Amino acid sequence: MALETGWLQQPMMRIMKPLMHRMWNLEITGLENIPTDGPALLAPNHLSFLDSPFTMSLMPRRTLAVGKAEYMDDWKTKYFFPATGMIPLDRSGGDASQVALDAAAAALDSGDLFLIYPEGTRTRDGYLHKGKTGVARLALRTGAPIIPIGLVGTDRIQPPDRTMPKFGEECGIHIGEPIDVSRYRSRIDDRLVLRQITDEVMFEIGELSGQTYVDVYSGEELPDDTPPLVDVRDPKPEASPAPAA
Amino acid sequence: MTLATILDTQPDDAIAVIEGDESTTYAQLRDLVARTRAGLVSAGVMPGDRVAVVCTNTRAAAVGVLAATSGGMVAVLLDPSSPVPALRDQVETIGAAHVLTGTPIDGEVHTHVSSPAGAAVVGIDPLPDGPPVPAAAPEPDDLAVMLFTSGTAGSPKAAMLSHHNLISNQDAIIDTHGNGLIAGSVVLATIPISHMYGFNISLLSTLRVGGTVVMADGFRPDECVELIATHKVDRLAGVPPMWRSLIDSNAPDDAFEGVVRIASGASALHPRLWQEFKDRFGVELQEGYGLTETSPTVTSHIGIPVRPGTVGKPAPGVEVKVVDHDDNEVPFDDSGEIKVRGPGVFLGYWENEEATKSVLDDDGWLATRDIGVFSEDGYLALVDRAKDLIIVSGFNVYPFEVETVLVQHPKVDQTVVIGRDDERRGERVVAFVTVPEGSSAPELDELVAFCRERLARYKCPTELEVVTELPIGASGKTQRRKLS
Repeated sequence: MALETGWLQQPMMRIMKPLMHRMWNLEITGLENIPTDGPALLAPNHLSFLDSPFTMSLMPRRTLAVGKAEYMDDWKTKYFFPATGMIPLDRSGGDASQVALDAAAAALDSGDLFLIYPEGTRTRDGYLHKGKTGVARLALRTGAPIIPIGLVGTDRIQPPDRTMPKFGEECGIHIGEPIDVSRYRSRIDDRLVLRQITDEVMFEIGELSGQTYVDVYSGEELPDDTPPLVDVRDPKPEASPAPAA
Repeated sequence: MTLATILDTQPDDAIAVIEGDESTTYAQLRDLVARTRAGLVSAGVMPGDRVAVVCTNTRAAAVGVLAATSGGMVAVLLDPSSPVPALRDQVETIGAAHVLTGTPIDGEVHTHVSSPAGAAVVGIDPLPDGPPVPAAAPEPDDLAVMLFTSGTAGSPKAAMLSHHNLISNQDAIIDTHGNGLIAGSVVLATIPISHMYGFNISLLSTLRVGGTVVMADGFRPDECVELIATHKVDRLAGVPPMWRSLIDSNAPDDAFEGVVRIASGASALHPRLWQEFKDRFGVELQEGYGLTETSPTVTSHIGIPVRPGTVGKPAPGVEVKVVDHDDNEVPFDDSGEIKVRGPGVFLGYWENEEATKSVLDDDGWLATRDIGVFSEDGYLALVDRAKDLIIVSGFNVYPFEVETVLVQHPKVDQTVVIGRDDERRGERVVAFVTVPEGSSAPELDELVAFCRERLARYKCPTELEVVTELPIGASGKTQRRKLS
């Protein structure tokens, strides 16, 4: 019998979590915002390759995400990644983004947490970029709340040019209050709804991560009037009240 | 076709204009236009000269414009409700040779406008007269009309429109399949003729199809309802504040029974107001979109099902795109600046190349500075004016969206939302509200709590000002600058 996706995640987390706290100075806030049961979309900013393993292993219950099908061609990742929560993306069925959305919807329908990066790719310039509307589509389709997450410092632990993480660095994982999209559902035909939900998520991520937001997609050229990078977090963030457990 | 020949084919005895108790047939109108043209020519006005027309919605305004344009002159429509110094500046800006005025403001304009601007001021009633002269034969691309606008490019400028601009845009609303204008249409002209919609749609398009223009001088709900009933008006256009006062008036529920089309423009029509009007009168308002610089129609609901919250689809022959800051078209569910291209797009601003270049590119696309979003099936929704956009921590807040929520609060009657500079977030959201009769004034906290259930956190007002009235301009647009 085939093993369930993510079967290794929770046993591994029990080992990894204390280790991670020893290796890095982790500050985790807002864990109580993760619902104890039922589906939810986890929507963090994206700074580093480490964002997924960090976020997924610190969650209190199974968290799935889609990953590239190429991981299934490599013996090093073929078994390990699905065991830790990656749903391999089967592109044979047609449009890759639709396949990913279907896979995510299936995970949410079964009551799991699902990790998705609204920016699509890692930021290369430190700004928080315009979100893609997939997270909003999923939330409207499944009714799952969106939980904004602000990651801070994972790029210092493993910058893009390093193959091994640096130890002893500080890192913050700030979990915001769930965004319930049910108030948008009566406007489901409104073409702006997807953008409005997405912007709301990005604003809350920015409040948690402290990044300056720019209204262009990651990878696109920044407009000339882009403001300098500054920490825009509230002096007392509303959505990150609890210290790490 | 040009404006010089626009009256040529209508039946002599059809009614062209009704003003008060007086009806004017097309034969009479043609005669009045010819005599006034003769009067202008005999006063030395030459083809290409600018003739300012300062009239309320009257037959005189129609005669003045058509007399000037049929003489190859350029008719410049000025808003008679403008302060006299502004009128004087405008007359000077365009170097008017003549100012034609309707009687109500004759004396004042004559005194204050004529001498510094050096223009001869002539009342239209009684008409200037002279030996008959044939109509000129201007080319379609010749400059025909100018209207002052501050809409798209800041301070007031005179937008130049050719005969072809205006005629081609009339084609967009004259149709045979939907509920556009047809021969025999009876149109109530409530929007000032000095504004592009009142001018090219209510007045000129109606005359071109051989319909009847019922002149309304200003808007009063009871008069509007009476004119509709008396003259069997079947089409009218207006602005959202008019719909509000009609709903609140004691007009009978069947006041619009015979009306086949009511167009709404100038400012955003809140879906709640659309619904209230429908519930009250059983009529679906048709929101459209246009600018002075586009003669004016860009989109309309003519011939398509009405979708509230949208301005319909692009009119025939008008290209519309929604672009990002790099001028790339955005996907259907994204907002961006609306750009327009087509035969109605104006020639430019009078003697202001810089302003023209700032809105009109080499490929003929006009930057409207309005933000919109297209649905996949081609309906355009207006989001807001780009200049009204509030940017909080880099995120766009469209005042219209916040206003739509605020007016649902029982302690809010009308509202305008603006942005004010904020040290930490760039801008903050400020709400001005009026309070319904018999209600106490709302507190900021209760409005924020109400908004928070319906809007993202950064869109909720952080400052509230309760006022007795909001500044609304003559065209029905909120004058936001007066609040900031």
